[in-house]
Amino acid sequence: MSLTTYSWLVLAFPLTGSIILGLGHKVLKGKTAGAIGTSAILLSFLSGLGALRSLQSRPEESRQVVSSLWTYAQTGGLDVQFSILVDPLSLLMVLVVAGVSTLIHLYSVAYIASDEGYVRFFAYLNFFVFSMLMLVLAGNLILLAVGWGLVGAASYLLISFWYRRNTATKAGIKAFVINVVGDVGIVLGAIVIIQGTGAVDLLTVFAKAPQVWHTNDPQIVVGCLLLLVGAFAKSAQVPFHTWLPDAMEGPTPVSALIHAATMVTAGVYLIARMHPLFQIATTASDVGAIGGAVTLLVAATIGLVVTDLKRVIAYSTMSQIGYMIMAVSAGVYGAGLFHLMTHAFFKALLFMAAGSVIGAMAGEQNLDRMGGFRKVMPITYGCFIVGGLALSGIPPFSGFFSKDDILLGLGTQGGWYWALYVAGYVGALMTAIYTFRMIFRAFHGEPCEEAQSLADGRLFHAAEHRNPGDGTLEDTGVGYPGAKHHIAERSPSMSISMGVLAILATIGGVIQLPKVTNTLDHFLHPTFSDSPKFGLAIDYNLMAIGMVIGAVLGLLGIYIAWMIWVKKPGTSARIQARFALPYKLFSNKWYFDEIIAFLIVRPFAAAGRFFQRTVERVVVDGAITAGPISIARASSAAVRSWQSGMLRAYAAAVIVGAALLVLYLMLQA
Amino acid sequence: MLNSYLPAIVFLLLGGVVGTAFALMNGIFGPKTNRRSASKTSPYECGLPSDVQQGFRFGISFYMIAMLFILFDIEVIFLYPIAVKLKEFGAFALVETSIFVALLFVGFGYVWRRGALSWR
Amino acid sequence: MIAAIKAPLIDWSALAPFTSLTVGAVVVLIAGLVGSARLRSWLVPGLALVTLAVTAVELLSRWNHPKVIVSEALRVDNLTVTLGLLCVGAAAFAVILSLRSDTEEGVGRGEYHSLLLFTTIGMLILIAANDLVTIFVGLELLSIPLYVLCATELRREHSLEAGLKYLIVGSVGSATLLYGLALIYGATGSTSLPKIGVAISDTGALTDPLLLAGMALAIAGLSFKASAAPFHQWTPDVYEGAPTPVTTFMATATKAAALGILLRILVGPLLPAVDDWAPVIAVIATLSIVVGNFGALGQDSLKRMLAWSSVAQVGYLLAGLVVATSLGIGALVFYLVVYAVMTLAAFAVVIENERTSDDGERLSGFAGLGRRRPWLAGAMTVSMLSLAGLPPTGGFIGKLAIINADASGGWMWLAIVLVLGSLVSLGYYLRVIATMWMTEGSAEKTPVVKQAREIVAVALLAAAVTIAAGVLPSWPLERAQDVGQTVISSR
Repeated sequence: MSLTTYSWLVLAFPLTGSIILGLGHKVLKGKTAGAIGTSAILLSFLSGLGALRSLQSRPEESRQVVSSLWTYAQTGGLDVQFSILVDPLSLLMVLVVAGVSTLIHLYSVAYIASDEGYVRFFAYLNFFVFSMLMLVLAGNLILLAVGWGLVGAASYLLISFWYRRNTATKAGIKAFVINVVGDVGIVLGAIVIIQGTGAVDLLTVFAKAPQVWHTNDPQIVVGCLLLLVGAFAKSAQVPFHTWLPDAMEGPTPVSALIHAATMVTAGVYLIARMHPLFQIATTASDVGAIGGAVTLLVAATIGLVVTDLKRVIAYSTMSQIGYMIMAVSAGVYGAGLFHLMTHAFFKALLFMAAGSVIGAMAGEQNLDRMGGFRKVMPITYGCFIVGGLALSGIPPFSGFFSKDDILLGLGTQGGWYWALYVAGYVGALMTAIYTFRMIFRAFHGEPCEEAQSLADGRLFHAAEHRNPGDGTLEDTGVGYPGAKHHIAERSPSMSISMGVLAILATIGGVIQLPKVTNTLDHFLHPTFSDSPKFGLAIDYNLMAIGMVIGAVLGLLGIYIAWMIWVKKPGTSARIQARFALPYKLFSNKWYFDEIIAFLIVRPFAAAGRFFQRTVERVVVDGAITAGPISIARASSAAVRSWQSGMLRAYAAAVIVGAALLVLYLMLQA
Repeated sequence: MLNSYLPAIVFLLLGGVVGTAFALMNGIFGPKTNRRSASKTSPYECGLPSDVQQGFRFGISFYMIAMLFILFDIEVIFLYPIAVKLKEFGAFALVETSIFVALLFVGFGYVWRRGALSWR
Repeated sequence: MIAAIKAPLIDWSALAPFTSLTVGAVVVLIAGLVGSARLRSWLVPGLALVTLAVTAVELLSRWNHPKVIVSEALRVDNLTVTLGLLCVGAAAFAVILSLRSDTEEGVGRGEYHSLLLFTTIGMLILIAANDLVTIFVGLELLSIPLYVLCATELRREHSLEAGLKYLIVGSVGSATLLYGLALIYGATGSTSLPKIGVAISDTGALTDPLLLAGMALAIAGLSFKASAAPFHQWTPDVYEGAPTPVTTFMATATKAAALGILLRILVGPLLPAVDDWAPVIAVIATLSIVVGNFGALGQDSLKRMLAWSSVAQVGYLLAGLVVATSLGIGALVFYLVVYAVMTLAAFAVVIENERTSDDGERLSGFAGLGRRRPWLAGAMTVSMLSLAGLPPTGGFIGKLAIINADASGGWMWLAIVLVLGSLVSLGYYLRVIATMWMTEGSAEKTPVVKQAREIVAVALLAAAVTIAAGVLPSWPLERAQDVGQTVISSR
């Protein structure tokens, strides 16, 4: 089969899977749905491998292939084709997305087994994978925007998967609203680019861009900044990040797949994909790099103090994506994508292992209540250690190579990038501390009640099901988590997928050992061959120094965590008391939610209230509550308050409107 | 350009002045009494006391028949222009008029059949 | 004898759509008086459908045969054919959707269908109008039967209120338009649109305040019929109060007719004044987008929500008019058709849900619809997605075409307003979808009424067309461009 056939199959399998599951949700019994869903993604992954083989057999200069399934519209100024762009970059993303997705589907087969919404879950999950693959394969701006929107929708559906949980639906809406803001950024950015180049097709846009725009042309800077809004919203970068921690309300496999390994890295992919444009708009690139650096520091500090197991990992995800965004914005493409790949492995692994712990805790996620799981769940513990070491950048685990590769790339370029370089290492130290804080608190120390009962050979089940977030009572019907919990290491499908990821997280670094194997850089070369920054000569002294610093900082971080939380328990309380102000800042997540409420929500709400009071009183329940939706609600109340139902008011409006029109046109004359 | 509107403005002003003047003259020239008698506030009806009481209702049939009468009455007016130009149109006018009258008959038949003409 | 008749030349085949509708309307009126109620219950709608079908065929045969008829009073060209077909189709679906409603019994089936047909004639005349007098006659013929139709549910106070409100505010709108037309006539000395165009470009009457004032009033009057802000305020009340099939008809056909004639005037004789009217239309479009979208948020009545959303949709459509190029007009025509189809799907679902449950018109009545009646909920979902402009639906392509036309016509900010408006609109369209699929209705609510197959069929058909227009948009887009070309070149 040809390259393009393989690539279309990559898209076709998940789509078919989601359609079958969607239509057959009443008929499919038992684990059939899980099998269908998993095999659809597996087939997609295998097609991706086929495409890889076929791509590598081509000469290097013809490794960017556009294939069009049908011409969507070619009239009236629109020239949109249903086309995909297959090149090393998109194929790398396809393999990471489909590969990790296969494992997570496999994990979910058991994890979600007792849930009433079993089939629905796999239908959504397949739909998500399809959307994500469409996003990375999109050959033109329109299709890219479409995929971009679809993954947002899929993410919303999956966050709110337990739709009778208030906290889950609220988190879903929050994620959706922020992501829609990002979507609008993408759409407007695309309009600017289409407007400028007159082309929709990505390769044509890239070819025309240098002729249309000079360096830092305001138009392309605005376009790229709009794209960055989209990238930041999807990749949870400051200040569009507030949805990601809340998104942990979704089932754990969802957190592993969407909110760690795949969707949130879409922003990184976007910047890498649009690199010919970002290289012209250097201002926008700088904004991106600084945004990434800020995010990696802010998220790491919050990660130090959060007590929710999944939210610690979520903030860590934010922080790691900060590294990637910083890298690709600064032109360090190979390393950024390398880190994207290794991060997908070890972060998915950490989430899966966390799912195991949460299963043992009967849904409880609070670190304060955990402890002593080391003995009773050795495999989970092992996975956490592997994932943690990779995340902390300890050699020879994969994260070590990818993180140092990024910082090396920044250091090589010099200039003010040194600031980013330093920020990266500061972040690395904090990463090691919060990672092992999490591990030590969950697995070491006195065994908690749940760990005890597991040691006695039975899985802890709470007497009544409650929402761990706000404590509301729940049943186990559709729309709530199922009755049974599962421990990953006792279910074959879950432990297999964890095992594979653990191996990948360990050895994934070999793909790009500096000086030894530059496989990834070579592979990506066709995509980035036009970039002057790609494949800069490496300063080997800097590399050696960086590696040593990285390793030392990682070990130091682990040691600090060991001292604080294992050796001398109680130290953390003393530190909290000593540094009360920073602690308060961090544990309140730098007050981002509050700042957004203050700057955006409140003024709108106040304006809405003003309209309500002065124009006419229309009671809209709960119009003025916090949250992004209330802006819209308040404005809506304002608009509707003109709607009095009085005939004379309507007639008067018509007359006044007509009079204004007349006046305007008379003034024109 | 706006000069051409001058007559209109003069007309408007004059109209306003005359109207206001007539409305005010009653108060100026009439006998000055402060009493508001019943006959003063009631509708003016040729100097005779009014028979119609407030809230009086016409029967709906009265309205129906009156309205239908006016409708059919006015339709006939459309026959006049044809009469004036009959020579020029000749037989075509005859056909046209016949169709028009036929349509009127359809309307009449409809009204009759729906019972709008029966007094209830 | 026949040969002796000296008659003016009449192009019967071009006039045929108008005559057949008129004859049909009269026949239907009389058919409402004969036979038993049982016979009438299928005879009258049947005759109405036959009439509409015949008209549709006659209209179709006029594609690419432009002709000016009746002493240059009517122009039967591709625009007339397209929008005329849209109105005729909307009327036919209104007939089908009201087959089971018990409402017309009060007033008699004959009148209801006859009035529907008369309104359709008005629309056809309005779209085809080539003369100021024809415009007004068409508009009144469109409006007056609609006033009555809104009030056909005699026993329901809201229906009567809707009819009365529409009548009174509508008269204000008509008066505004008439005044505007009179001023245009005064400024140019002709009622014929082509002659007005000649007069404007000859005399350079562009600075004439009389003409500009007339233009403003005409725009205001027609914006009223199209329910664009700030002339929209009657819309939610009337849409909510009127019987739902009538609302469906109004939301689709009336808008098409009003926009059609607005297009014909502005891009016809008034095209030289484009720099004067384009900003006005752009402001009206922006206002409609803002007001419509914010008004729709938080509505609990589906009919009111759709009314507000229709205000916003008119804003999108007007954004296509602003550019005044064949690109923009093509986009407008395409989106108009798609808009009509997706609105039809939404209203069909509302009608069916109204029939089968007590609070079917409220948002709460849609809770759990996905579980109870997945097909119906599916059609609604497609419609909502398309109205919101999400792929793979026709609404997406339509918006894309309009945005493209705006951006390439130098109206970048309007394109941005459109995108931002669509963002806000997600807030209420997706709410409907979420309510249907992700909440539980009161499960015990077994429908007492039998499900109406034909209404479900209409909803599904409309949803399928919406999807088709989104997946294979080339053919309809090209036809829409043809229409745009004829409008531009016919001036």
